[in-house]
Amino acid sequence: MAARENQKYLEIELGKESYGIDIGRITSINEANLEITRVPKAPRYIKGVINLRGEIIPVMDLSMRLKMPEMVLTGNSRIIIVKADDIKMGLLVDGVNEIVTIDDSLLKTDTSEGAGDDFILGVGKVSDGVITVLNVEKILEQDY
Amino acid sequence: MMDVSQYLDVFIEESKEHLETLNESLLNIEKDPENLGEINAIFRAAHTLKGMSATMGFNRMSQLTHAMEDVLDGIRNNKLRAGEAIIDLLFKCLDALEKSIIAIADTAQEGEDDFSELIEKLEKFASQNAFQIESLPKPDNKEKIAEDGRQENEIPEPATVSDMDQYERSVIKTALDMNMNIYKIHIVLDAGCLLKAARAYIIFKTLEEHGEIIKSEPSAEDIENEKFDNSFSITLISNEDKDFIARLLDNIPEIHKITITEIKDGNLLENGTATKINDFIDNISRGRTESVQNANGHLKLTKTVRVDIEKLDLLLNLVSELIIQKTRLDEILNSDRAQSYSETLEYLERITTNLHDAVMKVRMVPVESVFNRFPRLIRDLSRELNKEINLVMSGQDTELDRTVIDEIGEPLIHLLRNSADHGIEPVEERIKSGKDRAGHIYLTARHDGNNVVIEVRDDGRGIDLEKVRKTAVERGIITEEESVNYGKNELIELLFLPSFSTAEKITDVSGRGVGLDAVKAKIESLGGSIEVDTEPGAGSRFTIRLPLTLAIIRALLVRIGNEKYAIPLSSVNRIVKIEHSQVKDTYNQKVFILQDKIIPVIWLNEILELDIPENQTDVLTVVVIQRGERLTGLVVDSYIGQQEVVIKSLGKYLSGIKEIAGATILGDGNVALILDPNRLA
Repeated sequence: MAARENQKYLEIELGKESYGIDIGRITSINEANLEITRVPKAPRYIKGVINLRGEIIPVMDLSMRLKMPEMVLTGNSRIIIVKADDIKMGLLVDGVNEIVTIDDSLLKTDTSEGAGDDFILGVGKVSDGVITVLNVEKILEQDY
Repeated sequence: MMDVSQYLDVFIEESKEHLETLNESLLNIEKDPENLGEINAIFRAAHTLKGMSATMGFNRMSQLTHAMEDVLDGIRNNKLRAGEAIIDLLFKCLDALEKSIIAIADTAQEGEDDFSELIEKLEKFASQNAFQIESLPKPDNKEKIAEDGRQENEIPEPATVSDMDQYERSVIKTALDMNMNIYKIHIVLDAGCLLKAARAYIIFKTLEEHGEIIKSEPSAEDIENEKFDNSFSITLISNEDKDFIARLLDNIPEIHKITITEIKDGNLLENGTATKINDFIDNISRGRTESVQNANGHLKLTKTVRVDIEKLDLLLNLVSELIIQKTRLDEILNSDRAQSYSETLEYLERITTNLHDAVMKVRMVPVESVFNRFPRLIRDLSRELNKEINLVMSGQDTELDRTVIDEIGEPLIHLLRNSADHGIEPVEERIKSGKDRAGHIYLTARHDGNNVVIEVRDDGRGIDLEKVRKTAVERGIITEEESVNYGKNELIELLFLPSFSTAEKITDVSGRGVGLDAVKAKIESLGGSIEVDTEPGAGSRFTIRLPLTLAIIRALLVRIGNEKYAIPLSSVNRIVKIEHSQVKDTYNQKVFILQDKIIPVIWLNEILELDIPENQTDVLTVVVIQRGERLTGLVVDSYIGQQEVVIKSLGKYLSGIKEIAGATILGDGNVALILDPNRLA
C-alpha cells in the first residue's frame, strides 16, 4: 500500500458507520433531492442517472455497493460526485461530516466489518480515533 | 537545439496533409507521367516535408524525404522517367513516412524503422539522374556558391543577371514576359538568431506563398543544413509589389536587415534600397487591406480554421441548454397563456434554430477527407490480387458530422476490400463472361433527406447465395430444412452474422475474421444502417445510411408506467392502436398483422424491467419501428408527443446497456432515456 501521508479525506456516513473518501477524487457534493431516473438493466446498486447542470451522471447506492442494506433517503442524504479515470459517478451517502487529515500512512486491515474488503484502502489515524478509507477506484470498477 | 515540441501538433497535421498530396499526386502521375503540374506539386510537397522534418529534428524522415526529393527532381527535369519501379518505390517511401508520423503522433519519437534500404534504392535512381546531368551543358550550381560564399553582414552586390545560369535566365525572361516581378532579396539574420535554418525555412515558406523561389545562395540544401553564416540571398518571382514583399518579411522576427532589389530585365537593374525594418511600419498600417486582396494571387485556397473539437462540443452544449430552456418556456406557455410570452418564444426559437444550424455546420466535414486515401488502397489491392480495378468516386463534397467522419473510414475500407477481393473477378474470368477487363468499384456519397447515403457498388460476380446457404448449413447456423425456406434477403442477412465469410481461400486482403458483422456494428453505433443487394454475375451494392447530425434528433416521447422514454423519430414507422385480441402467439413470439405484414410485438415494460402489471386494457398503443425492411411493434402505455432532444451519453460506466442509446434532458430538467431501436427491433 502506497504511503499517503497527510492526505485529506471527507468523512461520510453510511448507516451507523463512517468512512473516508480521498478529497482529491471529489468533484462536488450535492443535495440528494435531485430527480433520479432509473436505468433498466443496470446493476442493482445503480439507482439511476441525474441531470447535474446539464451533465448526465449515474448515481450509486454506496451502501448496496458495499454489500450493506439499501439506503433510505433523508434530509441529510447527499450525492458526492467522484471521478476515477474517465468515469464520473455520484455516490449516494447518508450524510457528510467533516474533512479529516490522516497523519500516518494507512494501515491495511483484514477485519473490515461488513464491507467487501476490496473496497477498503485501509484504516488511518485521525485526531479523535480511526477512519476507514474507501477505495474509490475499486468501487467505480464495473463488475457486471 | 530549440524546443520544438510546441509545434508538434502543427507538424503532424501539416505532414499528414502533405502526405495526402503526395499520395494523390503520385497516383495521378502513375496514370499520366507527363503531367507537369502534378510533378511540381509532388516535388513541392516533398520539399516542404523535408524542411519541416529537419526543423523538427526528425532526421530519419528528413533523410528519406531528401532522397525522395532527389528522385522527384530528376523526374521534374525530365532526367528520369516516372516508371513503375520508381512509382512503387515512392509509394513505399510514403508508407514509411506515414508510419513515422503516426509514431510521432503517439510518442513524439519518429520510431526506429530502418529507411536505409529505401534510401539506397532512391539514391540508385537519383545517381542515374546525376550521371545524366553531368553530360548536360548546364553549369554546376555548387561551384558558383563556393566561389561567392558571402561574408556576414556584407551588403550584396547589386543583382545582375550575369551571375545566373542559362536556366534561370530563361525563367526570368519568361516571367518578365508575363509581367511578373523578379526580386533579388538579400537577408541578414540577427547575430543572436539561434535556429538559423528554421528561421530561413520560415522565410522561404512565407515567400513561397506569394511567388516562386527560383534560386537561393547558398543553395536551399545548404541553408537547411545551416551551412551558411548569417545571410543568404533569394531570387523570387512574384506578382506582388516590392513593398508587399518587404512587409511580409518584416513580420518575421530575428531578421537584421532586408535588401530587396528588383530585376527589371536583361542586364538592366534597378538599384536596391537598403531598408531598415522600421521604415516599413507606416506602410504596414496603410497598406494592409490592399495587401490582403493582393495576396490571393491565382492560388485557390479554402480558408480553414482548426478548432479544437472540445471547444465545439462546449458550444454545442450551450446550444443544447438553450434548446432545453426554450422547451421549458414552451411548457410554461401551455399552462399560462400570456401573449407576450409567445412572441419572445418565437424569437427565441428562431435564434436557437439558427445557432444550432451554425454550430452543426462547423462540425461538418466533406467525406473527401475519408475518400482521399481510397484510390491508393484500390491501387495496392489490384496489385496484390492481380486484378484490374478502377475506383470511380463521386459526391466527395457531401458533408458529414466530424464524429461520423472519424469512424466511417474503417467500415468503408472493409467494404472496398470485400468488393475487390470477393466481388471483382480475375481478368480471365471477366473476359470469359464477356465483361470489361477491368472491374469497377463505384463509391458514391449523396444526401437523401436527413440522411447521407454512401454506396459501395461493384460490377463483379455478385454474392453466391447458394454458397452462403451451404456455408450456413455446414457451420450449423441454420439447418438444411430451414435453409430451404430462406429467401434472398434472409440469406443476405446471414452475411452479417459474426465471422461469416464465404471466401474460398483466406487471402491477405479479407477474411481475417473481422467480418461484415463488425461493419454493421460500427455503422449502427453511428446511428446508421446498412443494406445489401446483389445480382449474380452483375455485382453487389452495399448501401450505408447515416444520420446527418448526431447530437440533436427528433424523438417520440412515450410513457411506460410512470417513466418517460424517447424513441428516435427516424426509426418510427407509425403509431397504431390495436385490440389486444389482435395479438397472436406464434411459436416463440407475439405478432400482429398490419396491412398484410406480420409484425412481431414487444412489450417495452418487460424489456425495460419495469415492475408494473401488464397492461390489462383492451386497446394497445403500439409504436411501430422500422429497421431496414423490418418492422417491430413496441407496446407503450401512451405517447406524449414528438420533440427535439439533445443526445447525451450515459457515461462510460453504463455504456454496456445496449437497449439504451443515451439520455436527454427534458424541459422539466428531468432525464429521459433514449431507446436504441436497432437493439430492440
